[in-house]
Amino acid sequence: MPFALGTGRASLAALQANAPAGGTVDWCLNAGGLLLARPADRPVYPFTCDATFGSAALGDITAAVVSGRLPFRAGVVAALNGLGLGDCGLYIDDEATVAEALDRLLAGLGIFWKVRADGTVDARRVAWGTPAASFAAWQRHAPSRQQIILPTARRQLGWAANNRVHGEGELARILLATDLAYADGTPIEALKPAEPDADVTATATPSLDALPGLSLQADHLGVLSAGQLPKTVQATRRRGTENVSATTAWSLEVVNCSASISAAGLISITEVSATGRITVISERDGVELRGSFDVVVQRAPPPASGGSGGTTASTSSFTSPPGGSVWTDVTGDLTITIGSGGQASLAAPLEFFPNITFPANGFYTYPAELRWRRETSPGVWATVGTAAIQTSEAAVDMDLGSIIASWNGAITCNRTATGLTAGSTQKFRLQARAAQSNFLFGTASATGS
Amino acid sequence: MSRTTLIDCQPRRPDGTVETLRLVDRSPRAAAYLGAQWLPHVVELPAFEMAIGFDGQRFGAQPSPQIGALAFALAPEIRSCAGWVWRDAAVTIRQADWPLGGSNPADGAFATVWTGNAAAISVDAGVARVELIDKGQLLRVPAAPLRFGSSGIALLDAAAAARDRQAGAVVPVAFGRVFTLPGPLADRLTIVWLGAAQRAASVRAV
Repeated sequence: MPFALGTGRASLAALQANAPAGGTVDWCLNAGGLLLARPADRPVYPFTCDATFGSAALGDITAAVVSGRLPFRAGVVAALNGLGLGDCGLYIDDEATVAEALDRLLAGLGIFWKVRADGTVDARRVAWGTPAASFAAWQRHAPSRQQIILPTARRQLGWAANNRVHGEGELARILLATDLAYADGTPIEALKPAEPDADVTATATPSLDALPGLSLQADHLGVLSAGQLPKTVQATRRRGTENVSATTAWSLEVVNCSASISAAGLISITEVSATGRITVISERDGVELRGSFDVVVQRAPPPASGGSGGTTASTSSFTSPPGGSVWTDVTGDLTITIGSGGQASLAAPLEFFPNITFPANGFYTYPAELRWRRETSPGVWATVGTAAIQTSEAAVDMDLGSIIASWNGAITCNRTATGLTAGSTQKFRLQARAAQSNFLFGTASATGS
Repeated sequence: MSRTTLIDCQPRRPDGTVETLRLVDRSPRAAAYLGAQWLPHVVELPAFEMAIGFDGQRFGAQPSPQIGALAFALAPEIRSCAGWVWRDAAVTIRQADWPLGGSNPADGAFATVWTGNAAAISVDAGVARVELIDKGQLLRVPAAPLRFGSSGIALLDAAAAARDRQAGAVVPVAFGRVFTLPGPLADRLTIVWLGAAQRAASVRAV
């Protein structure tokens, strides 16, 4: 804690005669050649000061040290001052000779000094010019580097903390590990063994709040009802009990839907093609936590009857098509009566999953196709519209010889058969094909109108 | 080309009288130079050596002094000089090249090539050998010459008398810009502390 500078005095007598103001130090820069200081109170610790004595330039200091003993060669002092060094200082409180004092000043700067034949002191700087020889090429017996001698261009004063070493008498007490204890008397030693980053109070335990499922309403064709989307779901990550969602890195894995997640963990679901799943991945403090929830599309049952005298037939029972490129009937005949509109609405919003033995470890996806068929004359069937392919593939993630995760595929084949005779009876069938055998889920319906 | 060397030594007689011994080497003719007669007894001229200090990392540390040895014959007329006091005797060496024609060099042609001091003399087989050393000795004196108790400064000597431990300690000196000067207590009564035995230009913090 420095004292504040008080009043500068002209002499020792003035310094002794005037008491300094509280907390300050009076000083006398030249009391018969001495720098003196008088603090207001007797300092507890050793009393030190920073001061400038004469010029702080290297040459001037060198001249002051040698002063009165030998003259300098003309121009040397000015040359040393002109080296462009910062402020220099020299403090001698031992029996160093003038020659040793010169060494302290000059040796670290690559400067040597000598006494010339004419009795003057000279100081020169060792300088390296352009090398006289260079290597044209490295040779097998090239000289090797033994040591690097660094010329010192500048000596930095105060490069290390200029702290004063405390004496033994200034140490209040030396504490040993056995001296430390909690207020209740429990010694620190009793807490061994210590575990770095131990979390006994679980205040740092990461957790992810359970995510609620999401259920969306749709008609029997699988078309979402109005107002079902978009939906938001908040994911919450905690550290202990503290909500740290805002400082967590979030990402999503989605199946059968489109969704995004904000930096604060708010999931926005904008599009759902079929029942799917959203997995939330949160990463913080190097720990990844995952949570997931289902997005369920709940379809309304097909209407009991079509309009204008038409009838409806539906089935939820499907046969599994064998794998291959051949179309296979997966439903029986759906027989309906056509209404006055002369058309039939055919709906098949289905899900599928491969009916196979899964291969070795890996991630696999499976496609599927559907099409509607109408019996145009007894025993003769024609395709209604075009075939439909899956909106999302079924997928299986195999690892360690078992299924880690799997997702149903989704496929929708909604077609309208037109130009039919009002009041006539029509037969429809659903056909499927895929590279592999499939299980099919859902309801296929045909409605006359 | 030959050159004439004049060596001027100034030892002292035991009674303190300074004598001047003038020796000459390679004078073409009678050695009368600079208004005096010079004695041709030089056996060996001094060869000076000087090393630039190098402590393995830095150049310039402690240049060793230039030293050399002058050997001259103790002819009868100067035999007594072997008993004189040679330590710190001033020695000046001058040299001049021989001019064409075999005459002596003119007085004005001599240039001082070395000044220094004698350190010691030894005599062996009629030849005196004087060790010469440069004036760097003048720099081998304490840089901080004052000591508490004998400084001649009343304040410091009184402080030494009051504190035995301080008596004889070096009074610190400082040059340029210095930090964290640990000043000793100079006057216990009025709590006056000594920064350094040097006039200061400024005090930044105390």
